[in-house]
Amino acid sequence: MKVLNPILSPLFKFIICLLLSTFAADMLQNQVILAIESSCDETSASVIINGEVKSNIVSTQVIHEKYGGVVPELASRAHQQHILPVVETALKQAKVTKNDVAAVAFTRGPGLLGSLLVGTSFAKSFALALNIPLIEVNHMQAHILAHFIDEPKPQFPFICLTVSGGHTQLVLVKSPLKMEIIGETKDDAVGEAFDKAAKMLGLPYPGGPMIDKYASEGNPEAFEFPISEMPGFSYSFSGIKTALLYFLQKRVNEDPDFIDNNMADICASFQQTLITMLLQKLRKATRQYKVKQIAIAGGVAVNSGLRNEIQKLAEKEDLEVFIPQFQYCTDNAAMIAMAAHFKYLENEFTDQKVSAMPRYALH
Amino acid sequence: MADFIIEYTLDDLSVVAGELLSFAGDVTIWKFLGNLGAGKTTLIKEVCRKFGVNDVVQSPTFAIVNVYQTDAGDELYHFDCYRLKKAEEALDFGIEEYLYSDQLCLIEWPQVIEELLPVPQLEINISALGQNKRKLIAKIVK
Repeated sequence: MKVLNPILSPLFKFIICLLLSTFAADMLQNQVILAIESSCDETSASVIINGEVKSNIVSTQVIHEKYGGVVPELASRAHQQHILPVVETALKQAKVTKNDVAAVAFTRGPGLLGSLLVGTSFAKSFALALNIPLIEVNHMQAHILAHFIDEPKPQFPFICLTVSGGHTQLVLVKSPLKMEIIGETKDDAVGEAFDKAAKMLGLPYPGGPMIDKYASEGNPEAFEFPISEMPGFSYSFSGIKTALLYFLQKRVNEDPDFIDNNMADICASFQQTLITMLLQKLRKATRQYKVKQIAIAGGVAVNSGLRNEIQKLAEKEDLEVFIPQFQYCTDNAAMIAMAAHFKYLENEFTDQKVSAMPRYALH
Repeated sequence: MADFIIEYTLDDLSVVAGELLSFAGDVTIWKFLGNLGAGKTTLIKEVCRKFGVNDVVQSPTFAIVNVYQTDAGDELYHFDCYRLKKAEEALDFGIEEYLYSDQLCLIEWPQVIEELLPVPQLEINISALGQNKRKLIAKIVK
């Protein structure tokens, strides 16, 4: 041993130093952020490390495994039940513990007050208990920043059409945290038009996916619905809802089986009208703002008809189009994590006085 | 008090909203009944304008409740219970806080939360008489 010692000891020291320095570098480099999303029906948690999403857990996945039961759809109580297992799973899947987390982010709004409160309170308590900074995120900004989760990523400035059950917005995106709404709906969101049309057709809620499915088998020019003329870049989807209602009433009067016999054509024609309205303004915006890159975001961005038509528009107008993966279009915490990453880099933190904001405008 | 009954088109909305305001007096719970496409949200937009709301009045089907600010600094609540399946879900998000706030509550699809609504109420029934024509019957429920 006496012989070995002088040899071992410098080597040992060297190894210790090496280990320590890697560890220290790890501590400096690894910016681990936990993000919570609870703005509407889904509870979701995500871990992002140095801008790379490591996990994205949505309650429906976990809860069915863990409890196997039916979950109340809209109750904020459901969020309270989901939040712990969802966060635990997100941390575990990212292979980190709560002590590795450098900051915690949450959706402040827009959304349902009761649902937002659960995520907000959880994140505030988490930050307080671990003495780490708190980041508040605007849900609509996060939908757009979902484009920065995977390659290819758009270049600034670009125009994003955000479409969901609650929102329809055309946004000029100047930088990760600088966005300007150039147009939005004056009444119903486009997702709502899909859902309510589905209801009139006797299809289950949420109706968007069902209409999309039928539409793929129908003729989009079979029936004609009026395009709402709105000034500037504003949208309106209330009129077409009423137009569909009267169209159906009239046709069903003449033939009681009209809906069943023409489901695919009705869905295709109705969906086509909505898409035309959405894309007319998008095209006008790209021309006016001289932007060459366009993007879609939000739950309705999973609609295959919209995806196809926006690709066609892009080819015709020589534009580059960006569409996130399905899982990043519907409500998810990965997009909140992505937004939080950008805010972390800019040192945009909030404090314990922050509260949920159901009508949080994008700016 | 006798019911308030009026037939109108889109062009008359401002007049209808004005008449409703004076008919309602100080009743703060307004229920809007009528089928999809009857024009509940459209009429509420006009009512909001009369109360001095400058915010964009969008359908709250997704958010369940929209909160608007009036010129006078009051709040005005716009509900849509279309997505609610039972009254319990409304209690879960704290609907009583809004209903008993003494601020104006404009409620679309109120049927599911009927048991939670305090009286007096203004009950507004809208029915379609054709693509552009509507009939409205309003009464005070005590």
